[in-house]
Amino acid sequence: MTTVNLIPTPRRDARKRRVHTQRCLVLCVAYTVVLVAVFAACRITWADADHAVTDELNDAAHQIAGSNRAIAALQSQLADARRTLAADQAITQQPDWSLLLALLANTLSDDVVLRSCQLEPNQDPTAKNQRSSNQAQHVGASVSGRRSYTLRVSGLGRSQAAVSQFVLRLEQTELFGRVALINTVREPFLAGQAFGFQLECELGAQRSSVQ
Amino acid sequence: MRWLARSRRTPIGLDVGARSLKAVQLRGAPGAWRIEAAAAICRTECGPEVCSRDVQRLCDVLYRQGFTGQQVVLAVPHEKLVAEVLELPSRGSGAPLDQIARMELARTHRKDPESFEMSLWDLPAPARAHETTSVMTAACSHADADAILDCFEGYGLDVLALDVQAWALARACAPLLAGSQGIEAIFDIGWTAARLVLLHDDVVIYERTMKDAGLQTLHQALSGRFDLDDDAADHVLTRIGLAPNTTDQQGHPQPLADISSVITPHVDVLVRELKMSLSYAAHRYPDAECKRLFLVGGGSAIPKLADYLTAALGVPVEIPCHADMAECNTAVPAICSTALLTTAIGLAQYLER
Repeated sequence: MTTVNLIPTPRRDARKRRVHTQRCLVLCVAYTVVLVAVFAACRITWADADHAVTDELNDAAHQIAGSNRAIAALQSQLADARRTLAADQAITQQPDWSLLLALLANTLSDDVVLRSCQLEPNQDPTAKNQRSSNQAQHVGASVSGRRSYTLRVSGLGRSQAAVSQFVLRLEQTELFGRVALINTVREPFLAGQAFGFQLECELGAQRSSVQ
Repeated sequence: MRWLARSRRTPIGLDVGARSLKAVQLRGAPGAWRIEAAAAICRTECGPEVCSRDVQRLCDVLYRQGFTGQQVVLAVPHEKLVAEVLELPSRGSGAPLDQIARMELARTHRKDPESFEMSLWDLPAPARAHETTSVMTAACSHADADAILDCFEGYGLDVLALDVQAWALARACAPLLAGSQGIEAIFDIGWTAARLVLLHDDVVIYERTMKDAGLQTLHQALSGRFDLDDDAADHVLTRIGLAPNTTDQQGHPQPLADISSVITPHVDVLVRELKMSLSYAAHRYPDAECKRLFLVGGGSAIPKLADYLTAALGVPVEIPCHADMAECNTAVPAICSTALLTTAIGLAQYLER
């Protein structure tokens, strides 16, 4: 059916504007409420995320602390291991002097006996650092290039020639850089006479001629 | 959305009568209305202009009677309404009919074209169709409308529309008019005036207000003749009315006959005016005869008036009750058996577009 409304147009327009304004206000309020709700939801959600991150950070801090404690414990073990290694290395780098004694024994003959053997390190090890003898490498590989020693040998020979032969055999071993006959003296030995001698053999030094 | 519309209450239809204010609020949708609240409030001072005291009292009563909301729909008082039938150029010509009608009304009533609000609707084409469009216009000046609106809006009521009473009556009686082919008449007898509305194809084709043809004239006549106060005159009108004359055993007329003798001349005037209007409609639409006349308003409470009019007009006269127009809430059963609130029911059915 026909609808008639004789309210003046200006009043109707004003009413429409009023209604429109009210609707806009309601919409704005509703929008604000929704916005606040969304914000609150996000806030709650993100707060949970913060808690989760904080928990993870705490866990990580705990793990780091545990790892630091483990590292500290391992460092003490490592220090012990290093000390053990250093000790082992110190031990393994020592020359096998028994080989030297065996070599000396092999160079002896029936007419030469040894009275004493004395091994002393030299005062200036760097000056006697060069070695070329293969036999010396065999005996003193661990000491080559590091330190030099002086082997002082004293003994008795039946004759001067036996002493010289002994010196020559020592040189022929190519173990010593230098074999020096310090002195020889005639000495009574048992019922007869023998020649006492003193030798200095440089071990680990560059080989030199026999004196 | 339809469920929402059915569950929502309508604006309050407010029929401002000269003697009482009638208010109705419905729930539902067209074809399935239900009266949720109804009230009839006597005015403090009788008269065409509603005063602020009446509106204030109305606001108090509305709340107590179970009305909800502040939106009301009013009808323009008949003395403020200008309704005319105009012949305008054919709608197919593209002429601005609204503007032409406005200018024609302004010219006829010597008013500024922008000083009044106007609405128009096309009338069904008559049998002798012309190359013109017949429209019916309804107009109300801005000054009059503002005065009415200010009075109600000053008390917090939100006036949704100023409707025309003829269309409100048509809406209210629509369930009774379903399937009607001819012309249907609605005759509303109020306190100060009576109003005839003719409908054809569910369109208001004629509206006529008969001033001084209301119950007030009858009241004054009865009070003057029998020295009755208002309540007694009301009682005589609504209880005795045009009841058949009674005589005693000797054939002497009883006092009831005197009452009828006062009422009948008044009704005869109405009959004469009704015949004139119906003859106009019959002339305009010769192929559509008047099938029924619905008697509503306060005058419908006069006993035997419908029978008298039926006999005088030769048209069946029916008095619809509100229960025929809408389902009645059990809280308002008494008022549903009358036709007092017909205009208010139609106003409550106003649908804003």
